[in-house]
Amino acid sequence: MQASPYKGAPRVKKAVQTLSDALRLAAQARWFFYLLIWLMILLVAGTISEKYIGLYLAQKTYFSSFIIWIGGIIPVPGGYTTLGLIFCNLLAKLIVERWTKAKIGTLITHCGALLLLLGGFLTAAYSYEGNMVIEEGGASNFISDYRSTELAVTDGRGKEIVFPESELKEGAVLRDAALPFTITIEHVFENIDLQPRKALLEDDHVHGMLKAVDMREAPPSMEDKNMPGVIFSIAGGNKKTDGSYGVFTDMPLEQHITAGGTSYTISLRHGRIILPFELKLIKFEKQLYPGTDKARGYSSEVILKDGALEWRSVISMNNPLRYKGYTFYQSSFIDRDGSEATVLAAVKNAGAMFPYISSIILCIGLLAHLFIRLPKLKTKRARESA
Amino acid sequence: MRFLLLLLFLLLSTAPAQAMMEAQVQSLQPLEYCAFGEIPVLHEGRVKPLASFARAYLLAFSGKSALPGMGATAWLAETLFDPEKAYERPIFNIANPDVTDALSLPWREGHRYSFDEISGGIAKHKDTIRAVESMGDTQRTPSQRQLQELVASAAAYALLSESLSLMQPRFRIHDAGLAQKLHLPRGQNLTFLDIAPHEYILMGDIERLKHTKPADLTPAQREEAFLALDYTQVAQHQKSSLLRIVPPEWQRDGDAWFSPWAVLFEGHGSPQSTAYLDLWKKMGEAYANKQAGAWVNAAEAARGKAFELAGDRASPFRIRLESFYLRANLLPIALGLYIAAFALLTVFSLSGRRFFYLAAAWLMPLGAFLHLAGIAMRIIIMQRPPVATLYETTLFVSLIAVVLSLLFERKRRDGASMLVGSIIGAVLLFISTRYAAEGDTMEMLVAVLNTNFWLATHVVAVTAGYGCALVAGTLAHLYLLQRYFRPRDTRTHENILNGILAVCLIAAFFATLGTILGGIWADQSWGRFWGWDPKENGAMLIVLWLLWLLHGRIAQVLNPLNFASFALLTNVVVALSWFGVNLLSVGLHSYGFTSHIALNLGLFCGGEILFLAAMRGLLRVKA
Repeated sequence: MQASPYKGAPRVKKAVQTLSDALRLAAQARWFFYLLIWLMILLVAGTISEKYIGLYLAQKTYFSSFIIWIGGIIPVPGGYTTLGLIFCNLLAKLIVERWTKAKIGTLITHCGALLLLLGGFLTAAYSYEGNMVIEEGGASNFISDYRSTELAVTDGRGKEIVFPESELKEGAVLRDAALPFTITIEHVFENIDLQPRKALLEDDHVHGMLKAVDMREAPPSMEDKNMPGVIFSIAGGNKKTDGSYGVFTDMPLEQHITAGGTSYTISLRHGRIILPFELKLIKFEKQLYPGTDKARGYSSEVILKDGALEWRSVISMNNPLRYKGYTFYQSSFIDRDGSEATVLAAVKNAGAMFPYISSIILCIGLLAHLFIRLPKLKTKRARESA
Repeated sequence: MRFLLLLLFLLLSTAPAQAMMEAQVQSLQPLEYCAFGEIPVLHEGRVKPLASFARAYLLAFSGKSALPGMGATAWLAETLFDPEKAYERPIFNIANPDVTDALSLPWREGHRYSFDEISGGIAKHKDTIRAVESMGDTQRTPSQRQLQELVASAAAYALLSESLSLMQPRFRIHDAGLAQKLHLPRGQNLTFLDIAPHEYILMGDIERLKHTKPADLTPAQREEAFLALDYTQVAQHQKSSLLRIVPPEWQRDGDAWFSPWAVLFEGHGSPQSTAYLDLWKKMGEAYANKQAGAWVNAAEAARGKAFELAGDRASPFRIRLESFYLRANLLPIALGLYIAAFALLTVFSLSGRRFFYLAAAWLMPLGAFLHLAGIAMRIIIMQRPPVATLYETTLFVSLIAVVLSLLFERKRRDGASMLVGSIIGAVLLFISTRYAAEGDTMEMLVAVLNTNFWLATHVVAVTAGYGCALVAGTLAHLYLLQRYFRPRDTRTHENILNGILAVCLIAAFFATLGTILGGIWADQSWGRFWGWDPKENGAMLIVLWLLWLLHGRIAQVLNPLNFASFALLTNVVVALSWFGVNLLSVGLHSYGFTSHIALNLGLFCGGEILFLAAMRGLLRVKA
């Protein structure tokens, strides 16, 4: 190599050399080998713990985490960290590796795996999922996320003021220019246990449902079916309405507050995402195998309304509706004394296409590798036996 | 050599023949139940032949698919057409002496009890049973639960045996006046159906007689009272709706078939169905009079009429194929062939005599052919891909393993691959017989599984991965044994090692493909590609394990011995992911729930680890 006319050149060269050494080190297959051991341990531990702490919590602790604290003291890498390291290892390998004919199969396979991990990252970071419940004949234009909550105040004319979960902190004071009172959050419960009181509480400071029922913190639900609750107090209204109230999600009673001549309804509900379109349920149908109670399939006949567009669609098992980045799946149903409501799972996922592309690439790579590798294993033996 | 093979084959095939000879003691020979067994019936949501229906019920009552000297179809015929005799036949299996004690039954070898015995016991201990029934599910002891199950079985059996009572001769009128009043012939056998049109006369009379003292009744009145009593007793049988043999004829009835009683009481009858049920009546008469010829004629006519009535709802070809599938019993024969091949190969590896190898090389493909034929018939009968239930996965995985090992054997011709195939084939088919004993093996699928495309791609790929991984794991056993017993034969060692590596590659391909396809299916039906559900994690564990093995070998972190040792544990990983995750019974996939396998699974994994430890210990001592 010719001497470089620049003074700093040897340093740059050295830096490049160090970088490529580092890459080469990072690209070694042995890292993958050791990381896989850890990933398998995580997988087994997480799967077994699903039986004891429930699917959602186990997933959050073992797989969707950067660090796991064993016994609360010892930090070990979680699923995200492990997969991230594997991603780096793969990426380094693909940069360092020379593309030769013999290696084409493994290289393609590794590209596919890289894409799969990338898609997983996008999904973890940017996907959104929730439920849409529609009664027969009814319509809905929002998805509710059953893992988040929001406090909604509705005035008599139907105008809504919504306080998102991030504002529902103990001690927080919620205000809005349109409201003649302030709301102070006293308690936030992740999952509540309702205990009926023996007699109505003789306390003028406590109102509504809270007079008859005591709310307590319950351990988190195994089936990921928590019932969050909030106790808040109203101030600045009038003497009659100021005081504490309790609300929880899916509460059958409404909590009314009259202030400034208007009646307000305050409720705690699952976080909502308003869609740019609306789904109307025409009919929900459950098909059974003849002469049995075993379900053969479920389906919802819906009309999608977007502006002037009205589009009929049937959502059934393994047959979702896709529109404007949202996908609706037949998930479940609710039978309320003869009137049926369908439960659709709704998902918006930026990484949705990645598994499809990467799986095709992976399969091509694996097949190519099989065809390159298998004859070699055979000829080796043939040579020996000859 | 071929002569010997033929002899072996004959030996294997005489087993059913012996059963046939025993069965000839019966009034009707087994073959004559063929047409009867092919009559279609709706059961558990599927139109199936009576032979299949009979097998499912006999398994439920007795735990066996045939009685000594009597096939399931013959048993069903007796239960339907001659219930009095059937009630005395010991068919109920009570394996727990606590249950016989509770019913005051004697404890006997073989633990078989007749319906008469059990119903006597139930009548005697009504209060106990009522108390057990009112308890919560978690409160009952295992014996109490078994007692409750027995009572439910006996009730189902009673209902089944009453299916045709409306057309059986159960009445006779002796008094001329009574006969005239009811417009019925005197002194002849009468059925419930004969009397039903005149029921209003009979019941009107009884209403008037109610206030007369029994002592004041005339003989004719007394006969009428008894007739009415018997009639109302048989009328109780209308609840019997298990034998749904009458296809629906009207649009409004949907796909539900009807039992003879339902036809009468719920008004689904028509001239067509009456003609069909008349053929059943003829069958009953022929059965009662032991007329073999008339019986077969009536059964064939009924079969023909049933297909005519059913139209598109039943395919005669598939119904008859299913009946043939049950009679041919190909999978147990394949199991026998695999066991025989295993024995021959063991002798070959010990003695080194080529003859045993050749014999096995004939038996294995024959077994694989029968195995494949059995699975192919299931595909045609059910009109869906062959793998949807746990039972079917055992059939399919073993076939994959056998076929793969035979393909390798063709290249290598050293017996090693074939030995591996015979072991996996025999063990898995044996396990499958335990699942087959749980009832109808062609059950309908829960809603989410009811899709041919994904069953054909995802499940087939995953199970093919299981099959290949098991071949790799079992080859690893062979490698360790070779290292110990023939330490100087390095060529064979390397051969087997390359074999393991190749099979691991194929297994990794199928496992990865299957797992990703599963993710895509989940994305299509539940809206997420990956949910860390136990079943998904199990599939991923196999993929990671195989990748780990392959990378360990490529990165030279694992030397040949260590590679083979960990490859051996592939069997454990497969078993855990295949059967083990069902034990957790959480998540969306927990439809194939099984509890009794926990112990067997533990024994298998423990055994494999013990084998590995022992082999490594022995190898170290030798070195």
